[in-house]
Amino acid sequence: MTTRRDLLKFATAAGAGAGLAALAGPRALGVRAQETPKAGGTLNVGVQGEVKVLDPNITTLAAYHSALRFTLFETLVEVDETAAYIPNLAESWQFAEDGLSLTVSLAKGVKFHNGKDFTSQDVAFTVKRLQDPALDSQWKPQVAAVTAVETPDDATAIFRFAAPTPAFLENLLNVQILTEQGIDQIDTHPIGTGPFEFVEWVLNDRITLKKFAGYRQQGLPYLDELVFRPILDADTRLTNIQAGSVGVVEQPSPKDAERIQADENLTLLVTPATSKYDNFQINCTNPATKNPKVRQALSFAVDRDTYVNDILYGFGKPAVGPFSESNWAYDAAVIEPYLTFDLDKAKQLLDEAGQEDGNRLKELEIMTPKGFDEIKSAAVLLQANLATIGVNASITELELAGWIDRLVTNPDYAITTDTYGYGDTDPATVLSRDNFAPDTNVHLFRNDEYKALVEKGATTIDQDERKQIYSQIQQLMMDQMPGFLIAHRSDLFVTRKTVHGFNPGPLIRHHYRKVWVD
Amino acid sequence: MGTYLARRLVGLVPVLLVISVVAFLTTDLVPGDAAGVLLGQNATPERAATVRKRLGLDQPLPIRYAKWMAQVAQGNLGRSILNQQAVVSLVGSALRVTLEQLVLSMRVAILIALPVGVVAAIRNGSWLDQMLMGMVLIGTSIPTFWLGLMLVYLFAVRWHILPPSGFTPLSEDLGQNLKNMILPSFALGVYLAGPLARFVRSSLIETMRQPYVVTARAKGLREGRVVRRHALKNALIPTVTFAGLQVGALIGGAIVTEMVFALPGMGSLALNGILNRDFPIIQGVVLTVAGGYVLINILIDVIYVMLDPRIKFAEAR
Repeated sequence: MTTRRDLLKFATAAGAGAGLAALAGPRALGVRAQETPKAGGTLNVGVQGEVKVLDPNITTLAAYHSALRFTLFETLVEVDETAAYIPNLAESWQFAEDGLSLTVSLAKGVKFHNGKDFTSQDVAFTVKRLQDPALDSQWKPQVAAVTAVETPDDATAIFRFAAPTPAFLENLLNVQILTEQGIDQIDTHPIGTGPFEFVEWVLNDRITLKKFAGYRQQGLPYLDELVFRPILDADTRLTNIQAGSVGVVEQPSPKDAERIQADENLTLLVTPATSKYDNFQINCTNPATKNPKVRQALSFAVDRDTYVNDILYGFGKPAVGPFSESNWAYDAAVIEPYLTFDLDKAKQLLDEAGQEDGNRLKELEIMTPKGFDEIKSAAVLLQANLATIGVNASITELELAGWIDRLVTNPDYAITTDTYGYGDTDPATVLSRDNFAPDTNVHLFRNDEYKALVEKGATTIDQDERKQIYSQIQQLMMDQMPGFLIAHRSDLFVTRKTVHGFNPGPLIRHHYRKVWVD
Repeated sequence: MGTYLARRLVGLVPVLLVISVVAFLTTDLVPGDAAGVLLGQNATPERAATVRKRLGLDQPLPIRYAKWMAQVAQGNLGRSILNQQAVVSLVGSALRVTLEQLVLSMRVAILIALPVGVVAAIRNGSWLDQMLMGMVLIGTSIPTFWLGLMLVYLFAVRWHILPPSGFTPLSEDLGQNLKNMILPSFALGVYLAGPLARFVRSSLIETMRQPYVVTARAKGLREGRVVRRHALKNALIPTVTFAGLQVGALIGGAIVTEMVFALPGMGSLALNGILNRDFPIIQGVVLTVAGGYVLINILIDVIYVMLDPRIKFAEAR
C-alpha cells in the first residue's frame, strides 16, 4: 500500500520539474497491463455538477467540460500527453512569417452528427458565432485576435490577425466547431463532429450519449453508450464507484486518496498541478484593500505549505503568481521571495499601510463560495493567521449565485477565496482569463502599464523577448498584488480497474473516444 | 361530500395564487440571478446585462410575473431559463420519483411506528416501553444523510445487494425500480418513524384511559380485542393528522436522501432551481408541492370520515 508520504512525493514530482517533462499526463498510481481494446458496452461516469446549458459557446462550467465539451464536439487542434499540439479536425497548419495569419488544412471525410460534411464554412461560422456581441460568449477571448476567417476552398481556412498571436493554437483548443445547420436547436439537441452524439438529458439524473456511427476515425469510439450522472456529494461519488455503479468519478475528496488506493478495484489518477489553481481574489477598489501593501500583507499571511500538505493532502504546489513552476514564463527570482509565509512581514506591511492611510486594517470580511471545502479551509487558515497580527477577520460563506453577485455583478467584496482553471499553459492565455484580463479582471485592478505589457506579451513572437515581458509582468503583479494564488492543484479521478484508456492529459481534457471497458 | 370537496378544491386557487406571488417575490429578493450563475466569474456587469437581456430577465418584475402567469393560465408552467426544458415535464418526472419515495417511506414509517407505538403504549412504563422509546430516540437522532451513507456502504459497497444510487422509472423495470428505492425509502422512513411511534404511543395511552375502554374491559373483552377494536381506531385519528402534516417534513428530508442517493426528484429539482435562480423551475416546484400539501390535507379529512362515523362533512350553506 502506498503511504501518504509516497503520495506527497508523487504529487510533488508530478508538479515540479521543468518544461514539458512536467506536463506528462496524469499518472495512475499503480501499474496497469496493456491489453487489446474491446468495443461495446456502456460507461457510467459520476460527475460533480450538473451542466446548465447544452451550448458549448456560452458556458465555461467545469461540469460541461467534464461531460460534453470533448465528447460531442471537436477542436481543430488537440494536445498529446506531453501537451504538444497534434492534428485533430485540422490536418496541418502554418503560421505566416509575419505572424499575421494562420492557414489550416482541414481533415476530409468528417461528418457532423446530422450527416452534414464538415467544411471550412463551419470554421468560419463558429468563429463568427463566438464573436457575435448578441451571444456574448465567454469564449470570445479565444478568437478576439481574429479579424477574418477566409475560406478559399472547403478544406482550407485562413485566420487573419491584426497583430501576431503566438498563443492562437492554444486558443483553438477551446473552440468547439459547430455547424450552422440545426444551430437553432443547440439548446435542446447539440450537434458536433465528436465521437459521441447526444441522446437525452434528464435534469439532475443523467446525460446520455451514444456512439456516433459516422465518426471520422474507424473503430472509434469503443463505447456504445456513455452516461454522465451528476453526483454532487464527494462521499456519494466514492461509494458509487466502490459499489461499481459508475466506472469513473471525478474530484474525489483528497482526504480519501489513501482509501481509494487501498481498494483493489480502483485506480487513482492524478493530473500534474500546473493549470488549475486555488486563489484569493482581492477587490482593489475596496477601502480596506486598496493599498497594495495591505494586499501583500494578506499574501504573506497565507500559510501555503500547510494548505498544500494538510488540506490538499499534497496534491498541489504552493503558488503566488499566475504561472506554475513548470511554465516557461515562470520567473523564480521574482516569485520565490513572495512564496514565504511570514507573519512578521505581514504585520509590518499592515503597519506601514496604516501610517500611509491613517487607518490600519483591523477588520476584514473573507468571502467564500459554498460547496468548495478546500478553499473554505484556506479562508479559515487565513482568518486564524490574521488574528495573530491584530486583524479580526470574519468569514462569509455564500452560495454560488449570491457569491457571484457580490464578486462581479455588484462587486462590494474585499477578499474572497476562489478556485479556477481552464487547462491553460501559454502565459498569454492564462492572462486573458477574467482573473487577470487587464480590462475585465475581477480584482477591478486597472493599470495602464500592466495592460500594455499583457498586450505586448500576447503579440510578440520572439520567445526570449516574451519571457522578459512576462518577468516584468510577474514583478508588477508582486508589487501590486491585485490578487494571489495559494496553490496550483492536481485534478483527481478515480476509475474502476475494468475501465481502460481514460486519460484527461496534462491540460485536463475529458476525452472518451479511446476508453473501453472489460 | 361532493360539494365539500368541490368547495375545498376551489379554495385551492387563491391559496396557490398567493403562494406563487410570494415565491416570485422572494426569488427576486435573493441576491444573484441566472445570468450571474451562467457566466460565473466572467460576469462583468456589462456581460450580465447582455445575458439578462437574452434570457428575458431585464424586464420589470410585474411583467415577468404576468408573462409567467399567462403561461400558467394555459396549463403550462413555462420553460427553464437556463436549459430551456419545459417545467411541466421537469416537474412531472421529478414528481414520480418523490411521490414514490414519499409513499414508500411513509409505509416504512408506519410499519415501524405502529407496532412499536402500540406495544410501548400497552406496556406503558415497563422496561420494554423504555427500551422501545430509547430506540425511537436513537432512530430520530440519526441524521438521514448519515444513515443513507451507512446503508449505501453496507448494502451496496460491502454486500453488493442493492444499487447505491440512481433511479429507474416504475414503468421501465419494476424490480430495478424497487431495488433503487428501498434504501432511500428506508432512510427517510426511519426519520419519520420516530416521531410517529411516539405519537401513536401517547395517543393510544390517552385513549386507553377513556371511559369506553374501561367499559369494554368491564364487558370482559380480551385485552387484544380492546386495543384493536376500541382503542387503536380512535387513537389513529390524531395520528393520521400528524402523519399528514409530516408530509411537509418528508419533502424536506427527501432533499437530503435525493442528494445521498442521487435521485432526480423534487428536492434535487428545487435545490438546483434555487441555486441557479431559475425562477420558472422554483415556481413550478413550489406550486406543485403547495398544491399537493393542500390536497393531502383534503384527503386526510376524507380519511377522518372513514375512521370515525361521527364526523360528517357540513353541507354548503
